Amino acid sequence: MSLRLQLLLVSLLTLVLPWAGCQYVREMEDALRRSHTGALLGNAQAVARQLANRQDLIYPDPRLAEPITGAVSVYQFSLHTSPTLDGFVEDWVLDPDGLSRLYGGIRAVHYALGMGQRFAWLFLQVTDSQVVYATSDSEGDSVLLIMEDSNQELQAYRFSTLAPGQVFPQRSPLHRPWQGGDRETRIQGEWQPTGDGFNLEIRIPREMLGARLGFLLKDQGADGASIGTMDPTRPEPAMIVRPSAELAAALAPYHRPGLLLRVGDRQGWELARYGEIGTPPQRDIADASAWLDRLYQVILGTGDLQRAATVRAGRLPPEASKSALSGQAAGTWNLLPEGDRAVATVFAPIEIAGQAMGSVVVEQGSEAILTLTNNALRRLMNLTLIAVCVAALGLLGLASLLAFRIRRLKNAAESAVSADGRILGGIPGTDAGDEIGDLSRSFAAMLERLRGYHQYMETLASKLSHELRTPLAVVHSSLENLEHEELSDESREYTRRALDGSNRLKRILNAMSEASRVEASIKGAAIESLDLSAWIKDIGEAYQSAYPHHEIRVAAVNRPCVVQASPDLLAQLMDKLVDNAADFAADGSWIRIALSRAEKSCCITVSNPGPPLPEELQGQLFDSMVSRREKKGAKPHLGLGLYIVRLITQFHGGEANAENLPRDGGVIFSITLPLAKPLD
Amino acid sequence: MAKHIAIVEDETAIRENYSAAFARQGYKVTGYSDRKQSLDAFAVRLPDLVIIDVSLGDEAEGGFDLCRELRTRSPELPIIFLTALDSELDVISGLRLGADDYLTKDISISQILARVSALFRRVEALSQPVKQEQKLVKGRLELDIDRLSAHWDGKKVPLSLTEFWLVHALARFPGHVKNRQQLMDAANTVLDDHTITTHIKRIRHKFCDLAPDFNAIETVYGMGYRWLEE
Repeated sequence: MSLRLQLLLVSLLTLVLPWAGCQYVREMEDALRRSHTGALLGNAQAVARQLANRQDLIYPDPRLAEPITGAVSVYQFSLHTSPTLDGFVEDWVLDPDGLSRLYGGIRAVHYALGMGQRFAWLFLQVTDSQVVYATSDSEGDSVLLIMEDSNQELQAYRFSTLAPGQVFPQRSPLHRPWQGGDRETRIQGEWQPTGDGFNLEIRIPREMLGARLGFLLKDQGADGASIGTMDPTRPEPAMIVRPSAELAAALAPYHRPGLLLRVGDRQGWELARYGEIGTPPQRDIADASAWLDRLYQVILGTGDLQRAATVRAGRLPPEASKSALSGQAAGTWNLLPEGDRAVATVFAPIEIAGQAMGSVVVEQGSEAILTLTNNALRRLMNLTLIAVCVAALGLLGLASLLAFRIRRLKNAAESAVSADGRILGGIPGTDAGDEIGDLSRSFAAMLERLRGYHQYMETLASKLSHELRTPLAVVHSSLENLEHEELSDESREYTRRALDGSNRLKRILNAMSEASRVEASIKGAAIESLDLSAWIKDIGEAYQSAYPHHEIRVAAVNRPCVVQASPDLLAQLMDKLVDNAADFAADGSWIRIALSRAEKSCCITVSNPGPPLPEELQGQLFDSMVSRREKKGAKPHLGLGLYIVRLITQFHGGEANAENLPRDGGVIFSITLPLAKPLD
Repeated sequence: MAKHIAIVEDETAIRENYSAAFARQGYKVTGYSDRKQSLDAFAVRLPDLVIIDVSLGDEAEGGFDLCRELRTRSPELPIIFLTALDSELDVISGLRLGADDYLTKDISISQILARVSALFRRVEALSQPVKQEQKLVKGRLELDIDRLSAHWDGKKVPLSLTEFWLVHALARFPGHVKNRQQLMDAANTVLDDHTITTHIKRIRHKFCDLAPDFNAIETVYGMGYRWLEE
């Protein structure tokens, strides 16, 4: 993994900052919500305390407080329109969930009670796979309605029909309610068959309906079982639960904009409501803020807020009756069923004489994320966001910079030493004060030491020759003096041998210092334009006379090859190459000197049919003190000849190479020199 | 009367060996091991010829200093450098200081003797009237064999002993290529190829200083040099 990638990954750690910010904001959000519900709860409890003194408002009829066993209260909606008696509930303008449900076995009844201007309306939607109509001699499916009249006396009416359509009930005696009797034409119903049962819409004049109402459905089809709001064995209707305008008026003083106050009884029926969960006031924010808001909402989410469960019309949330029964105040936060809005709901029990009699529910709509409504917090979040971006960018920049410096150092270190181990370049960035600078400096120091060692190695020969010259002079001059002394023949012979040896030593020393002298003369060499193609023919002829035992072949291109060079140095280079070739090529064999020309360079080659170059010397053939000679000759060989070739080639900006010819055809040395730029 | 040669050399063995060789030839030889000692002696009386090593004891270039001081006292005193330092820079420095020759220590004793006697001949010749027949005249070049002096267009070319013999060897047979060995033999010295090149370069320079159009010495690559006659 590259360093840049690693640093990038590390820089991802800065994401901890926004994460921590989110955590902080969430906690803040919690605290805000708690304080919000706390304030609402105070409100609700104040209402509850107030209502505890007004039992008459909650239970205008004392019987309401004592539920009848086995009977279900029917909730009475206020109808603002006047429906048509047609067997359909759609024209009631009710909440679709306004229908209450009863289930029993394979059948179900949905029902609702509405109070209009002149009539009370009861709607039953019966799900029954087998609707049985009455015939002249058998009973069909029938509905029993028992209600209190305005005189608080119970009346029973039985609905049964031969066919769908208009239906009038039969007034039945209370003790045998299914018996039937006279037709009651003031009460009218409409029996409407549906795909999976039937609807029965019943219209009752207002004055006929008292405080209690209940119904039972007798299904003749399957098992003859009954279903309804009353106990089939003892049909007693429960009290009708009616919203109270007086109670609503009593809530008015506690209302503030955006607040919905509701009061419910112990069963969770809504007795009164006041106010609306208003839309929050539009904040005056710029487009950028709106954009940020959306971002925050995505990042923060809505936390642990749940969608509020849909509550049927006329009912309070289930927590309300729980709270009413347990006597405990509570508060929750929920998202509204649609949209991003959240609502805070608090429940406070109304306790009368130590007994919970109902509950107050106060709801207030708000932004889903409260924090966003707080300017200080918003600014904090904005600043955090900016800080995170800056930190991440900074880290990324630093990472890139470090990676760049390390790469540069690596490249420099790689190119500082050439393939054959020579020191070429320097190391950049050694003036930086950090660890990479330290590394660069150690590299540079290492290279410097290496360079020093190299220089020492390359100048070793000349230094050595220099140091040896004086003692050799002592030996030599002594021997020469000795020759003039009276000596026996034997002694004279020894003296002669010693002189020979010292002469050879002298030649060796001269060869050793030659390289350093070439280096010195390179510094003072005069460069001139030289046409190699003419020049190489000249020196070829000269070499033929200098090496009479070899056949010198010269092949040069006819085009001019003009280079910027020092003819003296080039001649010295050719001397070394030809001398080297003559040493390896047996007497009588050929030495080929050739010149070829390319686009921007020309190449001088000297080849001979001698033995191939040993593998282990590849790459260091042109180094100082490297020799591949095996046989010892009279001439000293220190491996400096090709080193001088390299020095001169490098001085001319060229390149020296040695290769074996294919099929053991000999060895070829090539010198590539850049051509001089033609003068305009 | 025997010529007096002073050898200033810090290496005792070499000093003694050369002294013995010169003494054998009938010269009077005095050896000195450092600059101060020799200067003290020279203050009393100058020798006829001085052979100086460049590095003297602790003084790495004490010989050069000594040469400079001697040259200020006597412009004619023959001075020969005999040293282990053989770099081009050292040779040029030595000759520029006015030394008559610059020899490296691998020269043989017989070669030194030959040079010393040649130098003495030049000194003697300078004090004698000019004899016409001992001159070699080739075009604009005029070589006085006795005085070992060279003139170009009548102007004196300040050649060292080695350089004079190189020019002499080349100019004697114009057009003939002299290879390096032949030149070495002529100059009576052991010089490697490279030093020959250096000498030729210096000779060309010296002539060019007097006559910028000088091009009488031609390099024949791979072989040697030849003198061109106009």
